Amino acid sequence: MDNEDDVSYLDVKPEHRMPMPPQEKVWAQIGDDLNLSFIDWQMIESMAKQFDEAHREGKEKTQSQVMSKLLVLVRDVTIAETELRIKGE
Amino acid sequence: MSKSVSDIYNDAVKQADADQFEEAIETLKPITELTPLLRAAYTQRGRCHWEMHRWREARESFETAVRIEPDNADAWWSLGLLALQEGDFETGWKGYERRWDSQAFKSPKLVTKLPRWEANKNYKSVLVWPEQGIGDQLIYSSLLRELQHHCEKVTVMIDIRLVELLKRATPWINFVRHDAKLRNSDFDSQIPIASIGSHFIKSSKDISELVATGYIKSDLARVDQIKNELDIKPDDFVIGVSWASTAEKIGPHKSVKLEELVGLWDIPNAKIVSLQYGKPDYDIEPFEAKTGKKIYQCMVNNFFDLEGVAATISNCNAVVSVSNANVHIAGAMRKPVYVLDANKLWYWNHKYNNRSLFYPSVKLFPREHMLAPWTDQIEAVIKELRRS
Repeated sequence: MDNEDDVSYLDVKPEHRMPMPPQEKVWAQIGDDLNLSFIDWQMIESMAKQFDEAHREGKEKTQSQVMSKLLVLVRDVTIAETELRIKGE
Repeated sequence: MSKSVSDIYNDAVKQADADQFEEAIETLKPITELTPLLRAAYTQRGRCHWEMHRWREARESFETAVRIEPDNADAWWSLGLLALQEGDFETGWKGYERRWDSQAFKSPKLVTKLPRWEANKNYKSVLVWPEQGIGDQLIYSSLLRELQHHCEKVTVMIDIRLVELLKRATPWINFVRHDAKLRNSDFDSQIPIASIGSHFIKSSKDISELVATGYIKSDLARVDQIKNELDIKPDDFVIGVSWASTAEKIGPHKSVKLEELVGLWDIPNAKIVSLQYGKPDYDIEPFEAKTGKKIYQCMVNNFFDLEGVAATISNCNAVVSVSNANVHIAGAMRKPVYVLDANKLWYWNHKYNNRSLFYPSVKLFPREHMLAPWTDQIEAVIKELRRS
């Protein structure tokens, strides 16, 4: 498949390349450099909202809902603390 | 002070009458150089008439544009789209093919040495390749089964998000992801997916006779999973909704405000589920806060995860949507769909009793023109849903 004349492919320019999440249903992914390479906040926030609703309705929460709620809380606390620290500086 | 066009013209006539032909040609230059601009002006005028749904005037403008600059791809492409909309398929497909020469058409082209597939050339193995958005790829996929009647082997490069959905319903066609590199030795011809119709659709009647239905299929395990996640009860009347199109340029015209759909919540036992992609929370949160109505959302990224979208749609009794990818997904699954149609796309104009000829389960509620309110169409949809 090395000879370009022997193959057909779409000529996708970099500006038309669509960011694709991993094929499996993953909310977040750690890259080879051990940093966060993908996170789907829309999905996580949606699950965190379901946690809130389940809580209000006195229903049991799923592990995914608990984990999502935790992520959102940690994110918000981190933002708030960072803002305070910046103001302090 | 600069001269008017008619003054320049009159000067040139005087020069020509005095046998000063070279001078006259030079004098006329500023006018003849306006040709591309004049063509563009007629194309633009045609587009404005189109937006106002004045088809005859739009066609006259596009035809004038083509006469002014017969080699111009934009003029032909616009005329082609309108002709397809009007059912003049001969002019339509000819003009539509010129999209590939237009600067405005952004779809990637296939790099290939393979010849273009033609119906009468007895080709045995064709490579179909994708173009445009998800909706376009889906609607033109309805002709793949017909294509297979004319060619032993059909391989289809398609947006990666659609591969499994199509494979599940039509396992005898080979679907591969759009970013694949394929060996030419496996094929003897190629064709862009939106050009297949030019070989088979010569009249509106051909559409209803030749297109497939039910040619995508959701994953039953995902359907069950989403049913549980949404906690759907037997009495629920589940309505999937999407209110926005993110298509470049034409998206805002195709979209409605979520608040305009509030009447859906009054339908008995209605459970409204969002199928909206993009950033739906920007609309949902203020809507819920303002109206106290609830929109259910599940753990599906409605842009990337079309398997999830299809599984959600499988759980719906009906889908209410503006013209976007969701309509095509639901239509290809034979799900009842009520489309708030801005009438910007040629294929929605081919209908019988307001049902799309491409997707018989899709009912169209066309807006009067691009500046008209959606009120009547939304009311009509709600009325129909109450009856169903």
